[in-house]
Amino acid sequence: MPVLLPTDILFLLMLLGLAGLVVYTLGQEHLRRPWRSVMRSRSAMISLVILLIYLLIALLDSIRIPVSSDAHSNSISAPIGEPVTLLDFGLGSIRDAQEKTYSAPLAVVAHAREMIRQPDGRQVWVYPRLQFGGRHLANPEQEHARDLIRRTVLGLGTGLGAWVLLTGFLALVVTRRHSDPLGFLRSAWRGETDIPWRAVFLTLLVISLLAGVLVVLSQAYHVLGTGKVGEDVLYQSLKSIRTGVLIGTLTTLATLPLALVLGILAGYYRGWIDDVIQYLYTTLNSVPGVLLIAAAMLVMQSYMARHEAEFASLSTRADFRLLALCLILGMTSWTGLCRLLRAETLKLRELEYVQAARVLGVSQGMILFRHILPNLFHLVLISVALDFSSLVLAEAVLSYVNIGVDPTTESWGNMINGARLEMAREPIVWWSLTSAFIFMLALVLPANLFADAVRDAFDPRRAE
Amino acid sequence: MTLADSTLKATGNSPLLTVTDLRVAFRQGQDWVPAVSGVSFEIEKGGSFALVGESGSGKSVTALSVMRLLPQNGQLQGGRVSLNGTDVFGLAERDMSSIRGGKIGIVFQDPMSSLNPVLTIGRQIGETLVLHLGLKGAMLRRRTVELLDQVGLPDPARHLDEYPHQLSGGMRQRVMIALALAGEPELLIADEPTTALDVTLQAQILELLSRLRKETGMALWLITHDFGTVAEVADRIAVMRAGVLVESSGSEFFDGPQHPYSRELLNAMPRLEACLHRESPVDAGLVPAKPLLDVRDFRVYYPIRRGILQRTVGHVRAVDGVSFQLKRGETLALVGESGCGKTTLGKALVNLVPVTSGEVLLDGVKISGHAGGARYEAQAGFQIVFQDPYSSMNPRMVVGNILEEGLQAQRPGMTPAERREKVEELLIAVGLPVSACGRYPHEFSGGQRQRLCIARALAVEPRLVICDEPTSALDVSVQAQVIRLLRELQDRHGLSYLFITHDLAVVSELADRVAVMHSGRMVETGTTRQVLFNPENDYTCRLLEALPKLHKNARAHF
Repeated sequence: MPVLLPTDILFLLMLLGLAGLVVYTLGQEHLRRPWRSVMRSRSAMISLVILLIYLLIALLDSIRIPVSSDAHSNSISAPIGEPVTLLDFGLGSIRDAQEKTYSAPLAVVAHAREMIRQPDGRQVWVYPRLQFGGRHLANPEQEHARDLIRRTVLGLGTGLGAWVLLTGFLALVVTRRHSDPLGFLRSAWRGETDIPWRAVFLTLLVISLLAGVLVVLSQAYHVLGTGKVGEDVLYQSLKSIRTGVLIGTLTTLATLPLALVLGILAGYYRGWIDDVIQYLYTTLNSVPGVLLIAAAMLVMQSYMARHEAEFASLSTRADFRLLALCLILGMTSWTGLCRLLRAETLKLRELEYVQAARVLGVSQGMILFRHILPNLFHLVLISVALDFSSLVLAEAVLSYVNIGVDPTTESWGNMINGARLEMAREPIVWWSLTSAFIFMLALVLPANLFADAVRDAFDPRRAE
Repeated sequence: MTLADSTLKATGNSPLLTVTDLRVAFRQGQDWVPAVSGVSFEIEKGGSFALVGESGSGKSVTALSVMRLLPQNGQLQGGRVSLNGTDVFGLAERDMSSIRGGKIGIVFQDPMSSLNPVLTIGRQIGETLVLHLGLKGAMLRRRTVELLDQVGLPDPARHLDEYPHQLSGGMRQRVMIALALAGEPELLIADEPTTALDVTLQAQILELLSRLRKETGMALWLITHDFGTVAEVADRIAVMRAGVLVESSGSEFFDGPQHPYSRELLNAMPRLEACLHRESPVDAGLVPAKPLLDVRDFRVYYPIRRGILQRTVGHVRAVDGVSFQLKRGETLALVGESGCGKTTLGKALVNLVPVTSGEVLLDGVKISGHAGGARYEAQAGFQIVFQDPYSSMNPRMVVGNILEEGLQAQRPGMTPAERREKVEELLIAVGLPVSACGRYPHEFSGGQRQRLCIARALAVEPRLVICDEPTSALDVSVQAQVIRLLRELQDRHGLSYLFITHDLAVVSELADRVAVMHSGRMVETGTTRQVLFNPENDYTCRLLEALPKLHKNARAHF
């Protein structure tokens, strides 16, 4: 029976909602049309593939399975009694592959020299061998490079094989409804199909090759090096994906109801309701966001300290803090969307179809639900897509100033925070920061490109 | 060749603008859709030429291509345009910009969006003067004042430092004309210059254009959909349809157009004399004496709020004590210029605008003064059809859902199958196929949409339909169809209409009685024949005076 933490439940619910939305969209012609134009954009489709892979990793990292204590005996990193996610199972080998401290990517020896006592009693000042990285090599000086090349080639082969299986399966699904599957694939390969399938397949190829190399190399090395207490940086970066994705999506879940309800109420009813809501968001906007978040996080921490019994395990603590961060970020970021929705509602309520509905005696709730809400949908979609990446970045900034997620939660912000000291070391420890940066960039850049495509398709002012 | 000859002799008989075999196409996806396919015409020096056609016929595109101002997705595919012998398409872009505004001036339809709101009138006109004539300082100011005076702007020196929003619509159109005249053009292109204006203003602007043509000796190229304005000013008339000129002739056009399409267009025009040949049901005694709608001392005031506390310091009296009655099966037209309160009155009757005071009785039952649900129940007998068929249907709903919305709200007991049946009935009644149900509003043309709006209003079986300018956004031929439909529905269902419009010719086609509104009050009420052909009030006379010549002839014959 899987263990579900609050954020897991919300995240799964959100994914279900997303799936429901997709099904609903397929039935609505006016929604299908702009999505089709999104699908025609090559950059949007490439971004979508990458985003889906991030989502998949986050999903795998959200399904927890309780582990019996004897299974824990050979695992070092996870504390006893803590449930383990599906992703942890998949990454078991690198999760448990601990070193003593820093080591560079793909290294076989530690980053810093140590005094080691030889069997004959002499003490030497050398780079000690790693416990995991390159353990199988008897003579690292000669074998290291050759072993790396061998494993890279093997990884590329594995990736290629995986890609063939994956695209074969995908092609089967895509061509299921086509009368001439081969002809379709041929035109897809020439880039002549409406949806840029070739770009999708090529993106998958690149990702498969990369993943293949990473998987094979990580069996024997720390591909991205290790951190301060010897934890694998690749594992850290992969675990951070869930944090980033969760903050980007759950926050909007907290934002949307507030922004939608208040924005529509203010715009549709005007009068004193409008005054109160406007007063509320103007006031909130004039308080510096970081200050508000810091205050809220401190309150939350003192609450956790007073109710220690409820937050017994490490993971519930960290999870509560993550959830609180999402909510607080949501509380401070709904104002922009609310203002936008209020203005649009003000315009919509004067339109003649809304007036006609009023004359027909349609109830207020029905007017809001049928005539106002669907015509605001494009604004919501555009702003959610655009906000996602800025929220991921916000987490990094907040964790950097120590008011972000729990220090025990793997997150890019915590990695960057840790890198503050690593950058000051000699020789410099650059891999933590670089990994966090690359993983974050690979999420934020596609998210932005995808958001652009969505805006182009849904924004009526940009329509032809 | 009567009127044209006299002007031609004064200015020399040579063509100013020659357009030969002009072809323009627009890109839609992969295809090129022709907008203008082989148009040829000439405009003589000092002559006046009217290009008439319905929307989408390519008349504005023709003008834009002559100015070389085609939008990005448009492409010139052939033809020659020569101005005074120079090939316009062969010129460099630099020389072209000195022709625009210099040799050719242009006036657009909407004076609101054609002027820059953050520059004063003087600055905007001055800019053209500096650019094309190189005037400076006091000379510049004097010339600007002269121009504004020429276009009949009262007290021009005072308006120089004003911003566009401080002027009325008619004044703004005059400023636009002054702007076009600033470069002392040889040709003035006026693209629907009076469409956005009130009747009385329309007449003034047309008169101004004719006068300016005579004074300055420039040629005038009028682009319009309205034969009424054409008869007023043009010597030569060309009718355009689907990118082709179907007919081109002199002012004898109105005596008998040659091409069947021109005849069709001319016949579709609503006629002021229509009411003379039609017996009103009121006169025939078919209408029961008891009124369906009785409005007594109806007032709608808007508060004017000032200061920090938003205290009410006064009221705008949009509707100021109006009383009238409407009988079953009767059509009452509410006529007046924009801002007279006729639309506010219509909206207030269906409670879209808060009512200040007054009583409304429907079939002897008082329906004003209710609140909430009771109000909507009471007014179920009223429906409204709006002017703009494009914004009056939710773009995210299919037609079937739009039409059954009223049924869902007012007849909750109906089963989906019954509703479906009723919707199909309605579609047939307004002359649309049943298959329209599953389609979205954007898939229909303007006229079809207006039919759908009428069907939506009829769904709840109202006794009275308020029509707020339902035909003014439509082309002439479509307008005629919608008027016919309204009349048919009236006969079949015994509907009463409160028809709000500014177009007196449409009134004559449809209305039994007319009420003329001016600044929130009704100044004259009577049968259509009485009001249109034998008016008593000064304001009504002024409205009728302003009618285009074509209609005035009808009155003279009577």
